[in-house]
Amino acid sequence: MRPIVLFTVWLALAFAAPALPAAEITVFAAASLTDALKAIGTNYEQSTGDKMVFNFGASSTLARQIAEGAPADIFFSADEAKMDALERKGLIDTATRRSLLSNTLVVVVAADSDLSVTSAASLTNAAVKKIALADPKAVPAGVYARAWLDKQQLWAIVEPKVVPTENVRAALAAVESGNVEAGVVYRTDAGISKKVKIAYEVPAADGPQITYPMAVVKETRQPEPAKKFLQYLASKEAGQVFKQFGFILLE
Amino acid sequence: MTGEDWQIVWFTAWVSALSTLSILPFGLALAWALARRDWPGKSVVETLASLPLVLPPVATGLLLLKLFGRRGTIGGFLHGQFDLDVIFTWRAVLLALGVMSLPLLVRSARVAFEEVNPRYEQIARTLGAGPWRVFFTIIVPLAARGIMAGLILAFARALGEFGATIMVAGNIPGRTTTLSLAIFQDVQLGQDIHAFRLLGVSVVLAFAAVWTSEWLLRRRRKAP
Amino acid sequence: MAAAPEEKGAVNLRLKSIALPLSSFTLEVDVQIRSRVAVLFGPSGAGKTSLLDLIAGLRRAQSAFIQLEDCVLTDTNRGFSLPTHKRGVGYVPQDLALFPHLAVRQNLLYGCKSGRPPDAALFAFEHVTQVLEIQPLIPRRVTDLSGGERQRVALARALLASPRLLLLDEPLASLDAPLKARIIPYLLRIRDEFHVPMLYVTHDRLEALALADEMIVLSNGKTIQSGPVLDVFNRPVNTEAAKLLGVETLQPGCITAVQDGLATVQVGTAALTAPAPETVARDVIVCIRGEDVILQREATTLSSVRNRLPARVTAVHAEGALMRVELDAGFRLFARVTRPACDELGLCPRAAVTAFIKASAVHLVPR
Repeated sequence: MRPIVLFTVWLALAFAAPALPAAEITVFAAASLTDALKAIGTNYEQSTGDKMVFNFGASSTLARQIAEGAPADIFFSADEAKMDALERKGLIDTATRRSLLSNTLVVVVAADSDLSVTSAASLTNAAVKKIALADPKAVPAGVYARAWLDKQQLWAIVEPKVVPTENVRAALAAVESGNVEAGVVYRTDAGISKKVKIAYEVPAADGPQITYPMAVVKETRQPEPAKKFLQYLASKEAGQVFKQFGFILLE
Repeated sequence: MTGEDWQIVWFTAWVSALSTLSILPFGLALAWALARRDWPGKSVVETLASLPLVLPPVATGLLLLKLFGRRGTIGGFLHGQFDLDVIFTWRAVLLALGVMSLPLLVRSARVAFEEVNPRYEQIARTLGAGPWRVFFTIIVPLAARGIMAGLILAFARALGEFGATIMVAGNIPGRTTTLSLAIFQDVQLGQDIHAFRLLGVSVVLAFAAVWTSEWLLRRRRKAP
Repeated sequence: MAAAPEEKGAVNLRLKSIALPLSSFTLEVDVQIRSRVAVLFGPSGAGKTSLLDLIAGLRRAQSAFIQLEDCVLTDTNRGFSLPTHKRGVGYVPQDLALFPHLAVRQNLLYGCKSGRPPDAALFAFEHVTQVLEIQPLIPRRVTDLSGGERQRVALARALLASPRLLLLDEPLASLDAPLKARIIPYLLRIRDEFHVPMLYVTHDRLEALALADEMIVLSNGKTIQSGPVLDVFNRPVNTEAAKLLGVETLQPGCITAVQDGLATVQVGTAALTAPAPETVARDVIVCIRGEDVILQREATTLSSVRNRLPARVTAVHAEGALMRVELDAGFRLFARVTRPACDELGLCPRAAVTAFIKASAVHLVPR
């Protein structure tokens, strides 16, 4: 009697346990990567069985959280500055750091708006009362936007109209709601929203260099699965998805 | 503390004071209606008036955002008719502060009104005073201490308001940045020392306000 | 504004079809008051204050028609009720309700700015404060005043609003006897100098007797009796009224004979002579007021008093300036005598006396 019970218990346990020990990978990523990474993550989960947990937000906020000890395995930032800051604090596995993606800045307006934006100077028109940007003091999208306007020497004139938001998606939402006349976001953000349309695409020469560095966080509990995911992000498969959403591949 | 810091403190103080003054007439009227009469739908209004106290402030902020945005019922009207924007301006700060602190004023004032002996009101009427005169010369003076305490409490609440404010006003430097929003942003940017400085000012302001309110309530009222 | 009153300072107040449900009964009143001072008399909780509130417009009734002179104040049939502040009805409540946050002067002047033009000379500030002797109190705070002073200030305040009718709710209830006696003259002055009609609520017989022209007896919300004050006191219409009006001796009796309008009544073991009631019945209640019983030590032989009863004192109680003497005269009899008289006669339990009761003081209420 007893051996049979033991055998049955062992069988049950054997089938209850997964075939391979699966990892749970936590990725802190810039808000503009939300849709692309979710799609890539789903594919990855299906093929490897690892579980993806994403935390999307402003890169500045995420960097801060990691510095405070938040349990991230991977940091995918929207600008080099935030990654540099963490690297200086020794929180990044520098060997794994690479920059894959770039993006374009665009000026968006509400889908039903008849506002015409032909250049940066259009933003100085009286018709444009409020412009939503991700907080230009810290959030990459806002920092880039400010850099662009600085280069055109229009920042001082435009600044009084700026409504700083917590992250780039919040700026997008502000334009969608109609509470601001225009917003400066990434082309990839404009792509996912039906309620806004692109009024002007910032030429690469006019704007700052936009890059999205990614790296494994040093304090990660599962360095191997994290590195594996990072490699997957650099793969052709993932690249296709990024391109689909409008990102520019750097390599 | 820089000039910019003092601008934030000054802005916070005057917009809180203005919002408290703005809700005063409406708050007193509502408190009076809840204190004296019984009318159909009273319990619904009672609950609504207490809602901002109980709902998460961001939830209240969301409701205000939808209502006063350019596409909202009230916001659309203001934008269309008067070219007046509320969201992302100092008016939104005023609105958020007012809505969040109103329940505190109404509660205190209501209790104060309920404690006024109805006989005084009745006798004043027999002496020929109409309802407005009775309210301002008899009811309000006799309820003054409780009303004052409520006002100060509302002011203190306005000083510290964050959740609803950030939803409707954004955090526009020099325009809608209040002490709480500034502290939040400092933490976001990693500027802890500056945050603590502003925190110190907040504590001083809030302490003074609440202490005064408690002192007013503690003083014995004259026996009617 | 007002139709010429029958007497200067008399009111014409019509209270018709009043129905106001209260906690344990419904207040129902239907009277017409025409006098300078009318008293609403009755025990506590009879609905007197509620009636005053209705007249002042401070309460709404299920049904009411109230007319003062030729001005309709309330008419529930038409859904009409004149707001309180337009009624011109002054009110002095039991707790006086002097505004604590205002000084005496502001209290007094509160009613002066009303829309109705004051009768200039009559209700002038100086005149009123002089008549009620409150001029030295004017600069003081309300909380510094004594009971009697507060009373007079409350009266003055109501007067200074030039009311057409003054309602007073047991104004002397919280005062002791000497103070009451001192305030009553002021009330009389209000009646005589200002000609303001008054409706006065009290459960004190002496106040009623002192002030009233007309009296309405209220019990459990119903009017038991109304009419000129002495009539009501002397001729209670039923036992309840009699009890309320303080006719002390109430005993069952049996009419044994009626001759020439005089009835012989058997009460206990005594026989009394009394005027026969209108409706002659065999069983009656005999009502005798204590004040109408004279006590003597020796029985005299010839006297106009028809009823001379040997009696024995059973108890003596002090009541104000008088003594209430309980006797056994073949039935339980009460008499009121002065204290000196009591001492002179040596009235104490078991003393033997003769009780003299005039026939006309024996009131028979048919059962």
